[in-house]
Amino acid sequence: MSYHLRQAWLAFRANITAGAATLSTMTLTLTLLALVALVTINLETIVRGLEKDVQITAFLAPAENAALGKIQGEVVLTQLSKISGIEGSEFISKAQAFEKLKAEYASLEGASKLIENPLTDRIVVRVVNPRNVEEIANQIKTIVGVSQLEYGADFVNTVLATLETVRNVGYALVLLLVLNTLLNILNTIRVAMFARRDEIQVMRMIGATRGFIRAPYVLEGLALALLASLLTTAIVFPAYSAISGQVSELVPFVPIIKDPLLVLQVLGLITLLGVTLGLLGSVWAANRYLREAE
Amino acid sequence: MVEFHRVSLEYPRTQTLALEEINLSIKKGEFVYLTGHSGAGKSSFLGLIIKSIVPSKGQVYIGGESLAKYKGGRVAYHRRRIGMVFQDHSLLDHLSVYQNLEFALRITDSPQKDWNERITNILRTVGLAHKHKVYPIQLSQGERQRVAIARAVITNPMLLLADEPTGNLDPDVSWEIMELLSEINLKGTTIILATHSREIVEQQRRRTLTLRKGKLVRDDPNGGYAL
Repeated sequence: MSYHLRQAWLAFRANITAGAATLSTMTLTLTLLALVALVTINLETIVRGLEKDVQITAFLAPAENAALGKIQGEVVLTQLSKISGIEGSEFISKAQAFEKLKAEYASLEGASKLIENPLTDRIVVRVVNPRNVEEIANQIKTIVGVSQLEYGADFVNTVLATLETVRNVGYALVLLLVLNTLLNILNTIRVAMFARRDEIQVMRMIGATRGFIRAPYVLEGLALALLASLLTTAIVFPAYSAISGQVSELVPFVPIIKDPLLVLQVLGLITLLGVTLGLLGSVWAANRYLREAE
Repeated sequence: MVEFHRVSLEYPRTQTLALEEINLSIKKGEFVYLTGHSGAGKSSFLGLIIKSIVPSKGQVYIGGESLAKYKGGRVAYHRRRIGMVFQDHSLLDHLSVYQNLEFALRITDSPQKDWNERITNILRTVGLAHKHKVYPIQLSQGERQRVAIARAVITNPMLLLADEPTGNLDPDVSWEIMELLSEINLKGTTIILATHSREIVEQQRRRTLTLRKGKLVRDDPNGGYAL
């Protein structure tokens, strides 16, 4: 192994410009990849938060008294259970709704003694997929006893669509960068092998196996990938910590991920991806070169 | 040792018929000259033996086994049984004489504890023990070719292929190389030597194969030069 490591170092030193180009491109790619991954995770958290808030409130027709209102509520709940895509529904009587309102707005406490409860019985419906909220609402509208519906479909759908577009653009960018990195590694290894073509030819003629010839170049690819991954961690970890701290201060209601362990986990996965790319790229390049040489 | 059964070789890209219907057998311990003009098919003949090229038709057998069976890693192991000497010696210039020989032993997985002894012995045989630290560029053409021969035989191959090994050498040095190859042959290594040197073929008479335009036109056990 020490022989192959020494040969890998010699191969790198002989093509230091190609190696440095690959190292910088790979570091840049992995850094962007890490940032896109962290932004995506944050977007997912925001989207999940929004999705939790997506619900349909079905206001029921006024009932003569609380008991009749409850019966009407149970009938509507039975109808709702037949609609697919509903995660759960809860009956809230007009009295409960008014109590909740009073709890939220303390000033109503005094006024409530002067006026009659203006609210109606309602059922709060949680949907499985917020994207289907419109379709489910249309079905609920047809249920006898439901007088009015309220849901924030437009806003939620717009936000979801925007976030999804941002995420998809990020993925496309990452895919291109990964491809670029792979091609860079391929090129570096090819140049390294071409520079030592005489040696490789002698090795082939005197009976070196493909694995033996390939080993220093695969090690070179792996070492470049590992180095790029470490540089990425050294850049992204402090940068993300600083940026996430500032964003949290500026917009405290946006749930930004700040757990250092999670960030390190993401960077660990990026390192794994980098090393895999280094391994795949160098093995592919070396095999291709050797196939062509035969 | 080496058998060609109706072997033809056509290079598909140029559609050149490099070898046509070659049938022959070379026994263990023989020293055979392979002669012919440039382009007659000598290098293709040697290439088929080390399986750097494969025949379009027919079978090549080495040690009784068809090379058609050898794929991937087995080709590398097959080549370890064969030593190769080229006209341009193909030594690695950034390695010393000693390191060039060490390189061959490393590649063929020889036990490391024997390396020093084997290298010292082979350098003595080729008369270059005193130059083990020297780099190829500091050697004469003849000395480089002797190192190349040492590298080819240090792994104890059963067969040695020499492709114009004296092509770049003056007559005196060529004879030194031929003497060295004869010594190696006397120790039991089968040798196939491709040459178009009339002097060598005439003065050291051995079985001579003559190729002309890819055809084996002469297989003379008494030797002699005739194209």
